[in-house]
Amino acid sequence: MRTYELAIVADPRLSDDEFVALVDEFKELIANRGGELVREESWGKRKLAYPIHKLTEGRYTFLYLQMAPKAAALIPEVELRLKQNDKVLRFLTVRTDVDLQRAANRAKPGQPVRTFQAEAEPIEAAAADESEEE
Amino acid sequence: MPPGRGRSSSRTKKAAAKRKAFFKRKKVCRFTSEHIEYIDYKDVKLLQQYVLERAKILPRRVSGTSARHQRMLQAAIKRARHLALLPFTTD
Repeated sequence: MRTYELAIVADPRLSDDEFVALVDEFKELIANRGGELVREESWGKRKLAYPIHKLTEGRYTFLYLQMAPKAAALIPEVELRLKQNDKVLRFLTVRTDVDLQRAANRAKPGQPVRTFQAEAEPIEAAAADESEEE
Repeated sequence: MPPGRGRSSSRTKKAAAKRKAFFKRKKVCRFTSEHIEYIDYKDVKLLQQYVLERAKILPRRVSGTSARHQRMLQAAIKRARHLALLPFTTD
């Protein structure tokens, strides 16, 4: 089994529903091609470190995927669709099984391999200044 | 700085004594000592500690990070930059 992480940074102007629909579109594609969604992590809106398309915020989501090596052909397909979608500002797919396995082999028994877990705190939710300024 | 940098442990006693005046604390790799084997690109707080004010990656000559961990760190920072979690530069 291979594991992947798919990060999507979407346009902050999307409504919650539109955003869910956008992500669902990709989840569906993945599921149809034999990929399995293990975990989903949403960070909500977050300030971008630099402006993209004159936007200062982005909606961050991370999909943790798992699939047989044969099904991995879905990755370039998903990436192509992400590229074509202009509501997606940035995306990144990272294959994690090899690195995590190596890390697990080296780690002391009982020590967590991943030191970073998404904290409960919703990161810099744009409650106060909803609209983009400047 | 004299050639050979601050690797005091590999020096002879005599050389170490000579350099006593400029005693350099041995740097240790934080990731090695904390047994961190996977550096996540999403861990922005961690990555920020290894980035200079101008958003440049902190060289391992300064931080003392081991070569292996520096490579992991470098990849993680570059991934984070792509997703606009970290800046490429300030200004």
